[in-house]
Amino acid sequence: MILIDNYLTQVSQLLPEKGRDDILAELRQSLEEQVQARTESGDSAREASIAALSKLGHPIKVAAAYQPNQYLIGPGIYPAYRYMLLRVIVGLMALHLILALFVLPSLEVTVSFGDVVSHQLSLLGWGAFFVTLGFVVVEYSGEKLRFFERFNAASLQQASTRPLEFGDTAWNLIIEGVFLLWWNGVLVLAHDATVTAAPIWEQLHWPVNFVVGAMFLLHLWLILRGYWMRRSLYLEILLNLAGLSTLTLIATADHELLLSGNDMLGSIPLNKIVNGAMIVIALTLLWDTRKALLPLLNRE
Amino acid sequence: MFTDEYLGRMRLELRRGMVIIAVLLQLRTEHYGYALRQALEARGLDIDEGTLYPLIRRLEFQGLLTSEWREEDRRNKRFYAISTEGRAALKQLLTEWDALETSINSLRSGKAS
Repeated sequence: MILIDNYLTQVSQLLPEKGRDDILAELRQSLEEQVQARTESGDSAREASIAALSKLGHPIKVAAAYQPNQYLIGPGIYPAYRYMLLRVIVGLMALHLILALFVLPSLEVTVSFGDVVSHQLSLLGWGAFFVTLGFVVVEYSGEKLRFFERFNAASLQQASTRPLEFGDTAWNLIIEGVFLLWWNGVLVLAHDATVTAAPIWEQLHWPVNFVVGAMFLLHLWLILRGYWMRRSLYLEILLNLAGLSTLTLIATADHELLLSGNDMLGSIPLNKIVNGAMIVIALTLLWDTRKALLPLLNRE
Repeated sequence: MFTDEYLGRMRLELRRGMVIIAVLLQLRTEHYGYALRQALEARGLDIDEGTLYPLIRRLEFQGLLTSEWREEDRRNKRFYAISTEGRAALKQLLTEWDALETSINSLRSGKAS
């Protein structure tokens, strides 16, 4: 019976304390009865024990069947968990970028790209941890999420014009946030290098901040909301056109950028990189404008 | 692609509710765990112990079964029987079962409107 003893020891380690002895006694009684039946049919005690235990299955599987909950977050609230997780993480990351943008310049602190990534990853981890913890508490407390109960079908009158592509929008948000940090001198790509810029860059400092900042806030709002509405589509088109106009202004003016570093680095003209980047940005803005325009045209 | 795995899951889903009815029906007469499994098997319902024992504990927790430990054949065994609440629940479940059976039979014969 050592096989059965060892099996039940393994099962006992996985069972909740409440009712554990009772469950083990019942399993033992059943196993012993099966072994007895098999030995009476000619099996050895060892063969009979192995057959009975194999039929019952792995100790983890057996113990799991006695647990009231088989999961940390069940299927009933999982969609809400996923919805909340994505939005809290993106919201926290955006908040971090906004704080960095407004607080760090006043402290005259600059950060590297690596600093931004490591802080963002850390926030992502903490955000995921606390949202998961919250939903595990909801799952195990048996509490219902009240907004499920408060569903009002009449509110669907302000329906979305199209669902939001979460990945695309989150990507836009990240790019815009990082760009704003760089544009405002908080994010420094190389500490020992300075950039000499043509006057157009200084003249467009605040217009660019306004356009990209508005795009950032729009995309943040969209992610928190979860879908496009008609007025957000119009705003997206308007901001994209403002972005394209700004790019045109830069492209038609003298927009030379010169990167100067230490003696080894010398001076590097960045015009080819800047022109390439402006073409990519312009194409992206055109593509996003087309995507925002299509549902409006199809609807009208 | 429809695989044996999907079919296995569907069978499991189909049997899940039905097993409760079978257990409640069988426990109109008192049984201990292993004897219950054998009795169900004799009626063509092979339910493994890993499923059956947790199920009867849950039904007892819900008040649909009563149980007591008693010695039989020099062994301590836990005997289960349907409770008054269990009988009321069984009656409702059988009504539901009959309605489902009627609907399915109607669908199978193509008489559904």
